[in-house]
Amino acid sequence: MRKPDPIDPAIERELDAIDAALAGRDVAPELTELGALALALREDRPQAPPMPVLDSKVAAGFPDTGTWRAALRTRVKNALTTKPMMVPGFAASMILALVVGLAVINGGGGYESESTSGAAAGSAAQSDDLAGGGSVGAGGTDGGEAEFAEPVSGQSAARQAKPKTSVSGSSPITEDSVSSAGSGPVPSPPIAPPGGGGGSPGSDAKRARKVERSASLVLATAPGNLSRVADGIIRVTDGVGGFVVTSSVSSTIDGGSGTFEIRVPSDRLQQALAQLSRLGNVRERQETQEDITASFASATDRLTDARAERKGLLRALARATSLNESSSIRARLRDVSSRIANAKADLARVNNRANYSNVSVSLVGDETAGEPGAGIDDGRWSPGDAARDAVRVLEVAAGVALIALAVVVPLVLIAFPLALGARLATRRRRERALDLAA
Amino acid sequence: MTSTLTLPRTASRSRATLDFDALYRGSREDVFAYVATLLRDHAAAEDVTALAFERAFRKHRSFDESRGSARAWLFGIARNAALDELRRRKRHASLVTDVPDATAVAPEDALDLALRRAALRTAMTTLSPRDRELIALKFHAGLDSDELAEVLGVSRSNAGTLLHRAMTKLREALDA
Repeated sequence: MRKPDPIDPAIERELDAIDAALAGRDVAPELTELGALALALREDRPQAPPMPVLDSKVAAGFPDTGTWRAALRTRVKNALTTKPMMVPGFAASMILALVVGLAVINGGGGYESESTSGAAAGSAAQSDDLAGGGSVGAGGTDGGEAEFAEPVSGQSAARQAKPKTSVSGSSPITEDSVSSAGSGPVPSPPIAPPGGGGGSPGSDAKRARKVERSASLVLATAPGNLSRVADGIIRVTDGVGGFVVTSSVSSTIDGGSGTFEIRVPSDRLQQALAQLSRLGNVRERQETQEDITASFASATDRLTDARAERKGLLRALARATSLNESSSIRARLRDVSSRIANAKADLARVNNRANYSNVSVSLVGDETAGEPGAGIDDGRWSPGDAARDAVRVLEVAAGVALIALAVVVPLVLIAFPLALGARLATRRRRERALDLAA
Repeated sequence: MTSTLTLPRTASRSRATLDFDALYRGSREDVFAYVATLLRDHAAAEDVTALAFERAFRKHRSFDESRGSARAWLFGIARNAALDELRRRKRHASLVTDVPDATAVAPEDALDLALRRAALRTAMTTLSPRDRELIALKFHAGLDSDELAEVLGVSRSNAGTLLHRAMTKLREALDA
């Protein structure tokens, strides 16, 4: 409740007399003249002419101002006529907002570049990819460039327990094996010179490379969950069309452990690794690739040569005229057939190495790995998955909101004083206009 | 002065807490009188009155009864529109004012009344725009002291004092 301001009694008396006169009440005799003046002023007020246009607009609810576009148009029109300085002011504000926005965006980018400073951007990207089982390169020969571009897709197992994840190529890049376990920039693998195993025109061809892949995983799970995870490994292996070579699971009081040697089709290796990684907490994950194109080319060459030789020997046998000559050719044919069989076997072996990948899974029972059943993925979308997805969505939403806030808050901090200042300036200009309107 | 204009109700205004039709019917004449006195230009006063009601209609959902009467709110809008018109005129140097016609009285008016009105209009022209505005708000628009204070953004006692000063100046001009 506002306290009434004191007013001079004489003034108050005159104001009361004015109000009384306007209300048709009696006025004190000494203030009759003031009362008459008040009535004369009221009588002399300007008379409004008929305003049918305004009447109809009011009756219709100002239809042309109902939309926000019309309102904006009217505002802009009024602003341009009454506040011409607003145009450069608005432009300046927009430029300022743009500069601030860009500064915010660039600020974020700068931080990112700092974190990868000293390393090629590609290396950083590769490091990220590797952590999630992404692109893996295999060099070895000058075909290594092509091999590096070969995508190996897979889902990140790193999220579960920030495991040590490493990927290495065949012998030429083994020394440059990339590990994302440590922090810091990861050097990009150099393009290595051809290795000792290659060198033939056939093996140096960039196409039809034969790559042998292998991987190892160390999974931790709660001791009570060991057998379920072991079953899961077998199920995953079967699911991707692979097979278990050896397996061993032992349970002890402390927890137990298990080892699995499995072979899975190379084209489904990443799928298998992703599914295996979800079975428990990934402690370590390693992928290795070896370029075996040279071996493949060598076996192919030997097979081709042996076949050509056999063809020649068969022709020579047909032309043989003496028994000795025939016997000698047959002996050589036996030798060639043996070499053909060996070359075929070698070729099949190389193909098998390329078509199937070795995966070594070590299972560790660990109380700290989580509750029994945690991490088990039976392929179905469970309420737990839904909860995790929901949390993830909330995290992303919160992140987006935070970024939006980081952009909006500085803008508001700038815009609010500007708006306040503009309002005060307008008010001052209006009052000055009244003073100058004599 | 009461307007006899009857306007149809519009459905679009049913949500508003402010009865805009009633406000328009009860204030149109007063707003025009105030604006015309302030601008001293009847044609411009018509435009400004229309603009003031348009602005008020656009903002009528933001009207807060706890902050003052609807009439005071409306006259605040009308005042801003009139002052914007004054600024515009100043910028375009097109000051068009109705020259007070001392003889502009109806033939049936008595000579005495005609002379008094002429003297009053002449005295009004000698006042500063601020004083003229106070008199317009009080006597032409019919605002009470509280509404006057609200429109001008001053305290009630301050508004009373300002009005008293304006009246004193007017009386002095009449006596001169």
